[in-house]
Amino acid sequence: MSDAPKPKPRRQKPEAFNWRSVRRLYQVFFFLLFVLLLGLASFRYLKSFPVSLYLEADPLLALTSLLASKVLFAGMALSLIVVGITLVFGRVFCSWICPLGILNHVTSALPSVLKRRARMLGNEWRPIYRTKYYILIGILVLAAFGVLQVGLLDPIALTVRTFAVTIFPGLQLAGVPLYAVQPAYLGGWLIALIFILIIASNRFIMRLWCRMLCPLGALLGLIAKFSLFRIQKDHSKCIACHKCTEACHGACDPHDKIRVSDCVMCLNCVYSCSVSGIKYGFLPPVDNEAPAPDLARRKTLAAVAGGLALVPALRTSTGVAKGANHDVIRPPGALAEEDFAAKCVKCGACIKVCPTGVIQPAGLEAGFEGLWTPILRYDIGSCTHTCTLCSQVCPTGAIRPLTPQDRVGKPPDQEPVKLGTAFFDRGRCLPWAMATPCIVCEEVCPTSPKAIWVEPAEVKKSDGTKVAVKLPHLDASRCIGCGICQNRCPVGAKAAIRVSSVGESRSPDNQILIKSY
Amino acid sequence: MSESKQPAPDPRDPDRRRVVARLSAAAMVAGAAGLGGWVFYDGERPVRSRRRADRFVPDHRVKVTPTVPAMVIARGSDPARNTRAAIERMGGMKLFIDKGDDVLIKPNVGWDRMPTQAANTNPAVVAELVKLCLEAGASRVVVTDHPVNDPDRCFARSGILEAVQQVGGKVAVPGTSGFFMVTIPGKLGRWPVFEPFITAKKVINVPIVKHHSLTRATLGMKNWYGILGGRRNQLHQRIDDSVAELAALMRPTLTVMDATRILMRNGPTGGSLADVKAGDAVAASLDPVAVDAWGVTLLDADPTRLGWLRLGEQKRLGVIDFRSLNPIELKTT
Repeated sequence: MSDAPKPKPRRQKPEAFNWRSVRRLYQVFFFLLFVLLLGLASFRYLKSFPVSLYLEADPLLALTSLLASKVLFAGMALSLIVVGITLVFGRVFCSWICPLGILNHVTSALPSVLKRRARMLGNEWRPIYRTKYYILIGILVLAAFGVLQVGLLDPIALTVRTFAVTIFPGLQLAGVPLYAVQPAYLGGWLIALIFILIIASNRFIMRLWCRMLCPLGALLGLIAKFSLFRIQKDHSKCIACHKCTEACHGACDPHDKIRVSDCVMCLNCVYSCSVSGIKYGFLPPVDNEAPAPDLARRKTLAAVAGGLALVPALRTSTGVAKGANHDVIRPPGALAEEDFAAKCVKCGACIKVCPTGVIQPAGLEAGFEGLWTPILRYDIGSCTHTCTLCSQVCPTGAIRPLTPQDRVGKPPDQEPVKLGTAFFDRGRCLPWAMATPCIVCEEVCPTSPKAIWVEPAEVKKSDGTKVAVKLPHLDASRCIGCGICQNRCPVGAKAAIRVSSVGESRSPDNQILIKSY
Repeated sequence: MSESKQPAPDPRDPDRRRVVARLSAAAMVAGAAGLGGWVFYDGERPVRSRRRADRFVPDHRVKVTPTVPAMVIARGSDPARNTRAAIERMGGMKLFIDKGDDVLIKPNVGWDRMPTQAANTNPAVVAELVKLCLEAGASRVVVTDHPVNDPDRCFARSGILEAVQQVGGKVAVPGTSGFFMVTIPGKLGRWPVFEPFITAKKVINVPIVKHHSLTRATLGMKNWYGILGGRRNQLHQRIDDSVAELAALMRPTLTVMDATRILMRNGPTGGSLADVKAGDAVAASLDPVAVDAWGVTLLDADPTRLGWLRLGEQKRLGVIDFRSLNPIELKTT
C-alpha cells in the first residue's frame, strides 16, 4: 500500500546563477592555469608565457622579500593586484585562485568519514586557528633581519616546489612526457610527505592548513578586514539550523558572528542557508561581525620574540654567515650568498625549468637557512653554457636576469659568469693514474679557448710498456665552473675532476686568482 | 507458530559442512602458495633477467652502377644549393631513395651552439636533404642525433628543429628511452643504440668538418657516436678502434659532408667565431673513408697519419686516397 514513492522533501531548486557554481568554475580555471604555467616552464615555451605569474602575484612573497632585501623586484609588483582584489572582495584568493587552497577545498569537500554533527562542530572556530597569525609574525620578523624563511610555508612557493620536485617528475615516471630525461631530486620524499600530510589532514579537519597554518591566508585575512564586499548575515532570519557551519570552509562561524579575517570566501554559507539569510554584498553593516583577528597580546609578543631568537640561531650556524661552503654552487646569476638568502623563496621554479636537472633543492648544505634553496649538483647534471632559464623564471631576482651574452662574457671587457672552478683529482684520472687515454673533460669543455688543455705525454703501464696519452690540465682563469667535465667524466660517481665554488663570480671573497679586471 | 526451538550450535562443535569448507579454504591457500613457489622458483639466478634481446643494425647501402661518381664536391656560398647540386651530380636522390622509404638523416647536433659557431651541421644542408628525400618519394624523413648537451636545446639552437619541420621532416629528440642493445663486431661489445637507427630503411650521414683534440678531426665516421646511449664517454679510451668499429657497424646510404663553415680549432665544441673559417663547400660520397679524408685535408692535417682512418681502410670501408676516386668538383655560384 505504502509502496508509492513518497515525495522527498526537496531542497529549494538552485537558481540559475549561484555563487557555488561560479566559484567552481574559477577554481577549475585557476588550478589548470597554475599547472599549465608551471608545466610550460621549460626551454620550449618559456619565451611566450608568464610562467612565474602565481609567484609574482603572491603578496606575502613580495612583502617578505621586500623586507629582507628592501626591493620590490620587477614582476612582484603584480602582487598589488591580489592586495587590491582582497580589499574589494575579501579572501577570495584562498578559495578561488590559490592552487593549494583549491586542492584543500576539493579534498575537504569529498564525502566525509565524520557524522554530520561532528563535521559541524569541527567547522566551528577554535583559538588554535590564530596560529597562522603568529607564524606570519615570526616570518615577517625574520625577514626584517634579512632571514627569508617564507618559502617553507608560503602556499604558492610550497606548491610550486612540490609540483617541480615531486609531482611533475612523478607524472613523467607514469608516462606523461614532460621532460626529455627523467629527473630526480634530492630529498624529494620529504617535500612530498609534507604535501601529503597537508592534503590528508583535510579528511579530519576541513582545510586545516588554510585555517591554522597558512601565513599568506593570515596576511590576506588582515587585509580582508577592510574589504568592501563581504558576507552579510541577517540575524533576524536565522533559525540556527547550522547548515552554514556544516558547509563552512574557513571556520569563520557563519552561524554566529562572522570572523571576516578567517572567511576564505567559499560562499558555501550563502548557498546552503535554508532561509536565504546570508548574502554576499557590497558594504554591509559590520556591527554583527566578530572582531578579528583577536590576537592574544602575550602570544603575539611571543611570536615576535621567537622570530627574533631565530635570527641569531640561524646566523650563528654555518651557512650564510660563515662564508662559502665549497659544495654550495649556486645557479648562474645568483646573488652573493647573503643577498641570495634575503631573496630566495625556495619556490623551486628554477629547479623546474632547468633542462639538465642539475639544480637541486639543497638539504642542509647551505645551513638550515638554505634548506630547499637551489644548488648545483654536477654528479646529477651540468650547467649549460649559454642557458639562462633559471634566471628568467626567478620571481624575486635571487637569480638576477641574465642574457646568454652575460653568461659567456665578452673579453676583455666583460667576464663570463663563473660558478666555481674545476680541480683535477690526479689519483683518479685515467691518463694521470692509469695510463689510459681519455680527453672527455677537454672535449666537452664549452669555453673558447678551452679551460681544460691537454699535454701529449708518454706514460708507463704496469708491464713497462709506454703508452701515448694526453694529460689534462686546467686553466683556472678560463674555467666557468659549469661542471660538464665532472658530469661526463668516465670515472663516474666520484669524478676525477670536480668543481668547487671557489672562483664564483657572485662572491668577491671566494676567489683564488687576483682579478685582472 | 510452534517451531521447535533448537539450541544454537556450539561453535566449538564443528558440523560436517563447516569442516569441509574450512579445510578446503586452507587447502586452496596452501595450493596457491605452493603454485606460486613452483612458478617462481629458480635455484641459480638470483634475479630474473631484464635483458631484452639484442637488435641488429642493417646495412643501409644501395647498389649503384659504376657510372655513379663516388664523390662530388660542390662549392659555392649557398649551402642548400651546394647540397642539391652535389646530389644531382651523383645522379639524383632517386638513385638512393626508393618510393615509400623510411629515411633517417643523421646530422651532428652534439652541442648547444648556433649555426655560425660551426659546432653542429648547417641546418640548410639538413633541410635540403630532407626536401630531396621527400621529393624522391620517401614516406617519412626523420632527423635525429643523441647530443652531448641537453637534446631540446641542441636541436632548437642549432636551427635544425625549425629548418627540418618547415620542409616537412620529423625530428626525433632522444630522451632516456628508446635505446636497444646492439653488439658491435670487434672490441667494443654491446652498446645501446637509439631505435631509429635500427629501424630506418635508409640512412644519410651528414657530419660537419670540425677539429677534435684526440682524433684530430671529427667527421663522418666519428659522427656515429651520436647513435649511442650509455656511457659512451668510455669509448675515448680506445678512440681509433671505436671510430672504425662504429663505422663498420653503420654503413650509410650516403655521406654528405657539410664544409660550409669549418671549426678549425677548439673543437668539437667551439664557441668563438674566431675558431670558424668559411669553407663554402658540401661533398656527397658513397665512400665514408674518402670523404672523411677530404675533410681532414680541410683542417690542414694529413689523413694518412690518423689511426682511425687507417683502421677504416683496413676494414675495407673505403679508401683514404680520395683523389684516386676522381672526385668531381662543381661550382654553384
